[in-house]
Amino acid sequence: MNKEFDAMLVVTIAIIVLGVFSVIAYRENLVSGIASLTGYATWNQTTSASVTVNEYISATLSNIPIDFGSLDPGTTNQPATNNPLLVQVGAETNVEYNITLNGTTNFVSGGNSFSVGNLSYNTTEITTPTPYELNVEKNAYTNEPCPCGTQADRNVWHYISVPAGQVAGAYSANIKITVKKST
Amino acid sequence: MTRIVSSLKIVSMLLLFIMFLNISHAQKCSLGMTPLSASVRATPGQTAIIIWNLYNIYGDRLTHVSLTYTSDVDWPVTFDPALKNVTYDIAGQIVTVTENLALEPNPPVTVKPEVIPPGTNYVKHPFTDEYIPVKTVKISIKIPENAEVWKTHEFTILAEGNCFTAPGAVIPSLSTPLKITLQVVPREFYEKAVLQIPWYVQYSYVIIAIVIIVLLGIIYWSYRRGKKLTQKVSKK
Repeated sequence: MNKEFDAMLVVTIAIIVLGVFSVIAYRENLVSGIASLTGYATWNQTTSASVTVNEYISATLSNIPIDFGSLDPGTTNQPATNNPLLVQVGAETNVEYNITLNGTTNFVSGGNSFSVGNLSYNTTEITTPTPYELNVEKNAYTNEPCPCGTQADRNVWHYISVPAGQVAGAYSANIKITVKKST
Repeated sequence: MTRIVSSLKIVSMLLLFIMFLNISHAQKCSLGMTPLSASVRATPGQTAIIIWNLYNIYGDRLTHVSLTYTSDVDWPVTFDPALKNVTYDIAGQIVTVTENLALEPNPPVTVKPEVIPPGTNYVKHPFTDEYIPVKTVKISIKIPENAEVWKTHEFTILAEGNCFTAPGAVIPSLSTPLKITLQVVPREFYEKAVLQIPWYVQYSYVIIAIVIIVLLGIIYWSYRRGKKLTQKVSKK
């Protein structure tokens, strides 16, 4: 019995050692694989050619600054004396574009002020007078066609309401007109 | 006499009309740029440099340009020329402006000059056989060493142009953006196949361990069985 047990023990140990050795020795091959190259009669490869056409955009403001002259407090929706503000998009512009407006400050005169929301605008696209909001970008013209060689003129009409009881003074505000490529 | 007076009236009205036209069409503030977008690839630790061309071909006065940027990451972005205070004499009034650069009115030309001053250039007009004089802005974006590779980030550079006009109630400024897409790429290129590993190879160590445990279990069971048999035989 002991002899049989000893024989079985030896065989078992041999199997274990052989198995471990096999896995260690050949695992790398199994993992990395074997590459072979067969001879080819012809060889071809694909590549690509690319070019980026540069984009141009420009805008010119005319009839500036936007002037309302002298108005009494309580006046509503008075048009600018030099309406409309003219935004000329240059002929070299080769993209579709948007024009947006943004009131970046309120109307200020010394220590007195009133909201830029009293200023409103309309365009040939936005026909209902739309009030400005402080630091809010508003659409004036959207997805306008590419000028592509011909200057494009876009008008913006402005109107102002002076709050009743507003302190007298020469008030001014800043607006930012952004002309950018349509997305 | 009456004819002379009538002629003078007509001439003075014409002169007034011409003056009115001049006033109406004066005060043109202009800003143009190219390109409008840029795609850049850079490695961690590198500085990506983008050249932006600004021009004023339609205005009748200086356009004072200041540059700002927004981004989805907090990486340092610098401009050359840098922001600075410049003092101007405007019709007798001394005014200090904060700007990166000022664009003089400069219409397109048919021939590029042989010597081009630094900080300026001439770009081809896209629709005519002319060249647009531009001032160049160098935008530098520093990529951190630990930037994640193959990630893409967006930068928006905004150029805001202002012109001095007669005093007025609303002073508009012009602005246009440049969109930069920056992709972080690895320092070196490599390519290797990734093979599918069979499950019995992937878990080979686990399989070996299980086999060893089972075999040891068999050995131990055999040993105990042999011992019991031996004890039975010796009792008999």
